Amino acid sequence: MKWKLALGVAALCATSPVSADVPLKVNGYFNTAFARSNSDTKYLTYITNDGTFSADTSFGLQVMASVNADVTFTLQLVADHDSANVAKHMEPRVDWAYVTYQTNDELKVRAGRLRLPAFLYSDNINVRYAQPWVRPPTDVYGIFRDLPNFNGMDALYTTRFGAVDVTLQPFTGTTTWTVMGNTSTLKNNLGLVVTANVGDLTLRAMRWDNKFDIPAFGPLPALLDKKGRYEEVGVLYDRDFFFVAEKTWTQLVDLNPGQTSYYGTLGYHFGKFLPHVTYSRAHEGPTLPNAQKTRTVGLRYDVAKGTALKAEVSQIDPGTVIPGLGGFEAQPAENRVNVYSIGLNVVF
Amino acid sequence: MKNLNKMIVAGALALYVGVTTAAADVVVIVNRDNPIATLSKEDAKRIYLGKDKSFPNGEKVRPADQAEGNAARDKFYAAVVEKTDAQIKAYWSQLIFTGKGTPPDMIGGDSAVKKWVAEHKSGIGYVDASAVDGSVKVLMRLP
Repeated sequence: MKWKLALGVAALCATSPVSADVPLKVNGYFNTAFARSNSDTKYLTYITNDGTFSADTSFGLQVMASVNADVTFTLQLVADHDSANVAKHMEPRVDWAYVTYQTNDELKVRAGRLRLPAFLYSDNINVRYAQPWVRPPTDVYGIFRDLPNFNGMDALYTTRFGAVDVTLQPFTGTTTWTVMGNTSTLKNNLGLVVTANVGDLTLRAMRWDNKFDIPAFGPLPALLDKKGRYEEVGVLYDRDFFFVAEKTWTQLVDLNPGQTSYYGTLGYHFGKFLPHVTYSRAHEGPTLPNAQKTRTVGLRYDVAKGTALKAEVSQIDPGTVIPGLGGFEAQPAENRVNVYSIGLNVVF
Repeated sequence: MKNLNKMIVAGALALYVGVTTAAADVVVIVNRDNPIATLSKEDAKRIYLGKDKSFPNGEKVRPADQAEGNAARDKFYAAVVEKTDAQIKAYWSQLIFTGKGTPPDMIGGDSAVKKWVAEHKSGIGYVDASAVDGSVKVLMRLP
């Protein structure tokens, strides 16, 4: 098997011209972290007081091939925790496989398998090197961290108004989404991301609408053709200060009045060190009044080229747990759960 | 005593040479056939962050990078792009793995970049001022 792979890679290399204009680009990333809590109740599928590496160990490998001056093909294999299917833990899957057509400097159109760009870190959730934390705030990203890739298309249109670069990213396609072992079908997906960038400041807004088919679950009947709506606003600043905040609105339009989640992170770059603090709240709404909240203190240390070490402590008040929503599998016995994490992120 | 004096002079000389080397000018270079006459710091920054894919005159641009740790790179990124190596790597990681952008090609050291820019009409690079000769055009000097 290894031989076959090696031969394949050798054949691939042999057929590409070797020069500064090599049309193949290979990039990758790897993450691991040890995380331990003070509770028996599982958090993010794996984290308990036994300690685990399973929640935050992942890798990705990407190959981009230039077909011609305007067309590229990109393939990205990702292996991660896969809490949607624990049996597939660390089993590589195709997260991205798409063709990009760059029509001009301002517009590119992509078709194939892409990741949903729901929130700021949704489509690069495993690229932990690009984030200050061991893992993105669970109160916002918990249920969305297994947000699936989709089969469809999107476009990236960037234009400049003086000092402001504005990017529009419409997307559409179909997919399924597995939460707590239940697989829903997401149809009629239509979304738009608007990003404005001024120097080191990025502002982002997103809206995504779809229709759901949710299979029967326990005593609950199947739900067909229900409307889903997701909205987000975000702000990111990275210079000497690091600041990122996002607020999200999620709603199954016909079923409930919706929920909001948010987080804010503030840090400061001291050379290779980035200490940061985060406050977040998960899924608050009229039907979910007693929401989970989390305080996190962390430190990132850029130890070497493309390599970051991170340590953080999160103090979680679980509130009234809705299994799956805020990361807990059930209501913990503790009123306050601490999670300690130490991790390593590599990118190349 | 004489030997000690010699050592002090040698040490001071070494220090002086070391300091001047570290503070050597870095220049931004383009191909000799490129008609562009000037480039602002902001233009260069936008090109190296992938925000501009063309020179201000509309001609395509292909930026060349030096490897991390090279003196010219450290100076260029600190003075023009105003980001640390880790920040720039995090910036590109976000774009690479979402297919939104590709970083400048890593060409090599001063002489490799100069040679590459001389060979590519759309090329732009930054090198130590001492490496420059008539094969390329200097657009900007970072003291």
